[in-house]
Amino acid sequence: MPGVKFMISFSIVIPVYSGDDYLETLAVEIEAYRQKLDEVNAPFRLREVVFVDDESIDNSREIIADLVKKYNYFLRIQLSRNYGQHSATMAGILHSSGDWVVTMDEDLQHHPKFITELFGAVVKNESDIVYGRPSEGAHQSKLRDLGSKYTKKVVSGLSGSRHITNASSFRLIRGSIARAASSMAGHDTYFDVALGWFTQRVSALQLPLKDTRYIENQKSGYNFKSLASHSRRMMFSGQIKALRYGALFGVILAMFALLASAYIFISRAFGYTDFAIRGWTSTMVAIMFLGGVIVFLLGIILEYISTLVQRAHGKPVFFIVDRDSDSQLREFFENQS
Amino acid sequence: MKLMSYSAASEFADKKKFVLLLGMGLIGYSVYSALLRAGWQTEKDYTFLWDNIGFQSKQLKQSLSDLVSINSKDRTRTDIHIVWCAGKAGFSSPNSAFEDEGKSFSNLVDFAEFAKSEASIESVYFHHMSSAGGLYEGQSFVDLSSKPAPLRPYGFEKLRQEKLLQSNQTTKGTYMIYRPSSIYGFQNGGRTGLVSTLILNALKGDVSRIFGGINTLRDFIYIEDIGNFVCAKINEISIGGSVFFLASGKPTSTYEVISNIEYLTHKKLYIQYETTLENALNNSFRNSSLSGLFAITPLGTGVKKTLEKIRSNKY
Repeated sequence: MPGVKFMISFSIVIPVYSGDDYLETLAVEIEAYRQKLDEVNAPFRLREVVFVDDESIDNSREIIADLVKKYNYFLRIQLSRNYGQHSATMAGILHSSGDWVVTMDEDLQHHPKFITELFGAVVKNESDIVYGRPSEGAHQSKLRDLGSKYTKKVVSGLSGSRHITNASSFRLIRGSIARAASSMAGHDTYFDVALGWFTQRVSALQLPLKDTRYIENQKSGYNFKSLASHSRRMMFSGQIKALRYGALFGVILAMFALLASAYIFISRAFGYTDFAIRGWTSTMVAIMFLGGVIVFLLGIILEYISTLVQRAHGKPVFFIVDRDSDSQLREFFENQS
Repeated sequence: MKLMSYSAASEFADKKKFVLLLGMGLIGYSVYSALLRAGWQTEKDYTFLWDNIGFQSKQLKQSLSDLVSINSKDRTRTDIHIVWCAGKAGFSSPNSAFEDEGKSFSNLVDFAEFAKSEASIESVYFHHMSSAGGLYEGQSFVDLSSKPAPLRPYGFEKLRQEKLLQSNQTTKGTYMIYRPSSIYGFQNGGRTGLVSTLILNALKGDVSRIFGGINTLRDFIYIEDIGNFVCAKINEISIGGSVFFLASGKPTSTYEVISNIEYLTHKKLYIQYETTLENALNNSFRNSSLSGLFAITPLGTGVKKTLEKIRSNKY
């Protein structure tokens, strides 16, 4: 609200699947960071940490239960089955109250100390969403890092969601947008695509992030199958530009067919060319024209389906956002520099 | 106002108990329904007139006399649970609208003292339906250490009522104060909250006016959860002096409620937002503030149940 100053709150949401080696250290780091924000009198304060137990496969559940007893601002959400990282993140966001929401991994790949820098990027880029991106290959595996990079580029091109190239699970999101996207998204909607329906103010910040778990053990929460599923959801949640390319191809083909038909017909009618096979002219004209029309109509039908699919995924007509409190962040970072 | 009784079916069970239930709005009716489901019986109905304290006192004394008469058949001493779910004015009402409610509540506390003097009554328990939304309006992350800081007459009156119970000699050791967050559910003819109004308007195709913002956070709690909890407390009570937050612990934005209702009704909602600084303040509760025994219906399930009730009522 204009002219009103109040402390900006933020929540951290952490989906947990197999984090028992990291959770206690992560909690200590979060607490240290929370205290530091108090010490420097930052205008943004950590008010809650939501751990979402996504039917974890190790001792994470017990560890989270202990942490919740120890830290009164920690909250545990227990999912009824394993729904995957994005669904778990959305469940956590829908249980958060912060003006801003930070989503991060359980394995300290995303250190809490970087959150201040993410807030700095909000001010610098006037963003609603800031992704924390690894400045170098996070997995220290060329195949894995390049695979991830180019998959996102291809999907971004095909889906029309430009910000997907920067997407990562370390995000700082304006709370209202995070909750709106989480409440609209269907079970197969890719969360970062859904976020793009609510804002175009998306930026990324290069940070020294390392996936230590993968580097040390070659273990990751994702296998090839889940990565493929990720890419599929990413593409089908978006606008599916490929369909438009298909429709355009149909139009070009139909026009070419018309021109070619005209040429063949005129050639035959006025005797410029004598085709040896009887009926070739009419057959070719019919095939080319009908083929073009069919591809074009198919493109239109797919475009309609794409619109309906996006509606089913929850794409809104409009959304309202309040950015007035950003001036407090700006003031803080200007005084810091 | 209703007088209800519960007779133990087994000789090993508790003695006979009575409930004097005041208020048959959304919450009062849910408590009443929960008690009926738990085996309580309605003994008498009484008229309650807000603006006539004399008449109220007469009716209260009549209920006590009826209680003694009914109980004398069993020749046992009994407990009475006075359950206050009544409220004359609404959340946005001005100060003057709470005069009658304040006087009626004070009169009821005096009646508790009077009932205690009746020979056949062993204990008087006072159950008070307060309001978490009224006491903590505009506060986020509310927990047990948060201080009530009402912003409008509704909240101030609820806080005054709580303090009266906590300081009164008769009720101070036997009160149970319930602080529900934003309740939702459906009752034909009663006040309709945000959820019911939106469902009704979705079904009718009418425009809804929302006094708040699209991103305003509230903590929604399904009405049957309140009724079941109060009923459980009446049935199990041994000591009083407790305050319970009846909240879900899950902040929910207006936008989430709207998408939930559109999804469940398969209808488009037409919304007009009336957003001001006062009505767009967030209100959320930490899980640590909640009673561990409070069973919470998830929002989607509660909205679905409300929708079914509205549909079966042929709106």
